[in-house]
Amino acid sequence: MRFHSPFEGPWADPEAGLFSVRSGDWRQQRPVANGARCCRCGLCFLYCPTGCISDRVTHFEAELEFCKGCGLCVYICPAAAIAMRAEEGC
Amino acid sequence: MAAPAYLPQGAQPADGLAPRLLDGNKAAAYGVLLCRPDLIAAYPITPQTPLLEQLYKFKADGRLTAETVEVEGENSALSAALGVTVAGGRAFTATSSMGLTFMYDAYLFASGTRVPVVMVIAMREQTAPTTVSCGQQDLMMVKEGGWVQLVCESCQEILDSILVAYRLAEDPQVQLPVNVCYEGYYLSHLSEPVTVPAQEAVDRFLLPVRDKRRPVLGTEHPMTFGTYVVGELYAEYRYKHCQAMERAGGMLDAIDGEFRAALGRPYGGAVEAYRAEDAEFLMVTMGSAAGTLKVVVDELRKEGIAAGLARVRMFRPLPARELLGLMRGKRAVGVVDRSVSFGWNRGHLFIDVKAVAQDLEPRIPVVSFIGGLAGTDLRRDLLAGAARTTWERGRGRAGAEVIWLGLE
Ligand code: SF4
Ligand code: SF4
Repeated sequence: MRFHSPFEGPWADPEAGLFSVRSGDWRQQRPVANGARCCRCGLCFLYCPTGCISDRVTHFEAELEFCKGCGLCVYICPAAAIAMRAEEGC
Repeated sequence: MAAPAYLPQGAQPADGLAPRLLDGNKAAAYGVLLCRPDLIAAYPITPQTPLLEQLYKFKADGRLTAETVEVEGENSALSAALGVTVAGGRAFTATSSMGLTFMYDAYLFASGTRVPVVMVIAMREQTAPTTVSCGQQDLMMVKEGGWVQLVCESCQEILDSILVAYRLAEDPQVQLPVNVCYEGYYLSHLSEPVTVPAQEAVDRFLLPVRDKRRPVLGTEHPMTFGTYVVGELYAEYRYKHCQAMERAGGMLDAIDGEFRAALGRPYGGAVEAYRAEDAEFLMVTMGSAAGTLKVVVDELRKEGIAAGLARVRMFRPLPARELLGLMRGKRAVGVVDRSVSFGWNRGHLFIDVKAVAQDLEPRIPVVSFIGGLAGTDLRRDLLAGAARTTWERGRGRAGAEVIWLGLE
């Protein structure tokens, strides 16, 4: 039997991420960062509802395992450094 | 020396303590006290209220160190107990009837999230018609809720079952919430001699909760309990829950052995067999009526009628294998229920026993007897009548599958 969760019940710890379900599973479009345009204001990091954007030193970018594709980061970005692209098959 | 009549067969009081007169609620309270809980959160409801009063008295006397929370309702009571349990503590709550209904979502959350909390159900009829009398209908409303459910026959068994319930719930192989159920008034309010074990003996049987290895919530190691789950993961947790239920069933027998070693009283595991081995037919029931049925079995035996009894101690998970073993070779089975299933129009335990009896070859008649609703007595004459009817069915006499005792 192959199990997806090391736990007996719907529990989760920070190592695995605090959700036993990856919110990236239901994404229909994904944010694509243009690192050259990013002014490193960090607004997308603050606004992302899944908290999946991290500081990559040169720019900010989403972790796609948890990005749910809402597009808020595109809306909030003052530098137009993020664009949404449809996921294949959606 | 033979064990006194109020103790289960073969019992030897290991601690040598003299029994005292306790009703079921007080016996439960002593059980809880001996388990050293961290939290008691409950809302009073008849007939469970005196259990809480006794616990608060322990607290006022300084004997109970647990936090006590007077919540605004049953839903909060169980929710508070769940919070403490996932944080690694040992929590207790208790309810009856409509209080149980009022905590239904928390009840399902407890089992689906695999939280090893222990809750007493002082069993009472379910509204409507409105009554506060004894019945097993409240338990039946949650029988598929995913909890382990133990049903007691005596006040001694209530105390002992609380200890067993924590031992079972917190076992890493189980990790499930456990109900200890006993009938309102017949057990909750009537007194019997009860031996209260010594704390050291209980400590040997039930390790402090901090020694247990299970994921716990804390600032050192943050966790989420009850996360959102879809698809395959959902099925996986359901599968694991069912596996844990299976293990809990087998584990009760082993724990019964540990309990006997530590505290001197054996209960026979998930099903107590009373003169069942050589019986021609078998009566099946659970709860306080089993005591009267034992008397009936003895009386019929004196007449040369080979009656036997199977008392179901663990209602969920259903001890199907044990019941099948006891029914094999019998000519008929009669099931006495203090509850009704609308739809089947039979007793709830009957439905289970009938389903298990499908595996018997050849098929035998299984009869449902409904009685004792709303605190009416399951009298000796009524139960003797039920036993005689079952005996006659085994000898080929035809009749209805369901009989309402005292009504028809
Ligand atoms: S699309 Fe939504 S979820 Fe994904 S990175 Fe942007 S704000 Fe976060
Ligand atoms: S909001 Fe835009 S500019 Fe600001 S950090 Fe995010 S991507 Fe860069």
